[in-house]
Amino acid sequence: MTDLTAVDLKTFHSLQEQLGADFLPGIVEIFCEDVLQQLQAAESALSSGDQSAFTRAVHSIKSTSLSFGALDFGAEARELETLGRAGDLEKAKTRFPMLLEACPVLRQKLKELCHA
Amino acid sequence: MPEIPKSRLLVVDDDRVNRLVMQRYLETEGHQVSLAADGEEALGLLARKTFDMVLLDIEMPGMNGFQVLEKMTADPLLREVPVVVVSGVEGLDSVVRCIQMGAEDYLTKPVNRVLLKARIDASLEKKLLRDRQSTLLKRLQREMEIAQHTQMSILPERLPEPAGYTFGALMKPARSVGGDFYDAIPMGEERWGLVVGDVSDKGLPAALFMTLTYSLIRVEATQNKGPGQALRDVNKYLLEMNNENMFVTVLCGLLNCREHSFHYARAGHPLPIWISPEGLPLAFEKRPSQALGLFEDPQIDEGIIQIPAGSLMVMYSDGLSEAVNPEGKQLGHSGLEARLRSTHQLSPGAVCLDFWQYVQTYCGGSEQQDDFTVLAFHRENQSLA
Repeated sequence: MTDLTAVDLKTFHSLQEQLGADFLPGIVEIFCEDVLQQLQAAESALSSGDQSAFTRAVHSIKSTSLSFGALDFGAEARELETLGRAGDLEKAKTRFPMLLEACPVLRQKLKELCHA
Repeated sequence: MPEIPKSRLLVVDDDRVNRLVMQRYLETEGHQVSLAADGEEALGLLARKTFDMVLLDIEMPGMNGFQVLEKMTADPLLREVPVVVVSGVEGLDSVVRCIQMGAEDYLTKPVNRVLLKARIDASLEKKLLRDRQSTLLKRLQREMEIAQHTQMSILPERLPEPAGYTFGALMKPARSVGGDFYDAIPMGEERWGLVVGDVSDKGLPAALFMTLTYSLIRVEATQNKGPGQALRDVNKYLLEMNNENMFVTVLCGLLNCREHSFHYARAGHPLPIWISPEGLPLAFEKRPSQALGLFEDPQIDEGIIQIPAGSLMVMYSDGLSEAVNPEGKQLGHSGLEARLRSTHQLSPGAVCLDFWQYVQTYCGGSEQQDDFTVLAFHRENQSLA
């Protein structure tokens, strides 16, 4: 089964090199905050049946997750985005909790990698 | 490759992390970076500040990337600012649409720093070259305007107004500057040196050669040596100064308004059209002649005619006679003569204007191919008294 908390080290270290090790912890912190906010927005949109708000939120999560090496997390967000665009919010509801659950673990992993 | 100057860049993305990552990359390269979180904020910044490039996300809440691009393309001030679209790999259809709308290039997310630098440098280099080209073009246009003004200003400010004669003239270069010219040189004792010339080719080289010929004729014509000798002497100087194999046809005549005579000399130029008071063509004896600037001793057609009262003479350049209609037929000397037979009762000024309109109509409104010059004079009937 896919581990949504997995971080691709090659991507992460490449980003670290490109941004600078001093800059990375701050941007990871912002990323984690924003992902959390987007997840809350997506959850709320799912509850209210707001297709476009849900799609927009998971689109944003997908886009930035891939940058930090959270490839599976990003891929899952992409799947949810596809479901959102297709209007299949019922199926999205069944998959969305996995993303929610993975988020705190992913956050911790990224923070640790910053200081590794 | 020119050195890419540090530039003012606008990053438009609704995602804070993407904005900050791009800002970090770009500032590290030495660029000045402004950030906008949506399309409206971006357009607000573009209205207030000057940017060298915009990095534009497509999917944004509110005004999206397409709408920003549409607004920028419609705005003459923003149209030239290059836009690099930044999109996810699955958004390639959107990227194609943006490129069709005028975007310069695209990048896929997550943005790679090396690719970002390469695309930005390439777009900025293109913009730099476009800006340089535009500056040069503006300078050239300004210089051409000055050249045009200078060329037109050397033409006679006022036409002769001797008793019993009226004059008219019109010159329309095919380009900003041209190779045609005319002159009316006061020679004293109611005598006027009348000149129409036409330099081979058009544009700036022709205009420079025209200015040289014009000045030489001015000097030689005022030395009372007769128009034929004046043209031979002008030819001598032109051969010495002409390394580009340019040549000029000239019709130069001394009009004596007391004796009503016209002593003309022709160097490869069309004969004038001459119409009697009754509207009938008056014939010149046509002898061979050659343009100036080509031969050591060119053939000059020289003659003296008497100007009957009421007659009208039109000196012209081949921009009139060689005008071509949509069927490819030249207007010719006979076409001009036929036209003048129906308009000879107009004033010389009105005749010149009529010829201009007639030639344009004859060409079917197509773009003017050659310089147009006419110089006309009419001896009034009452001067018989």
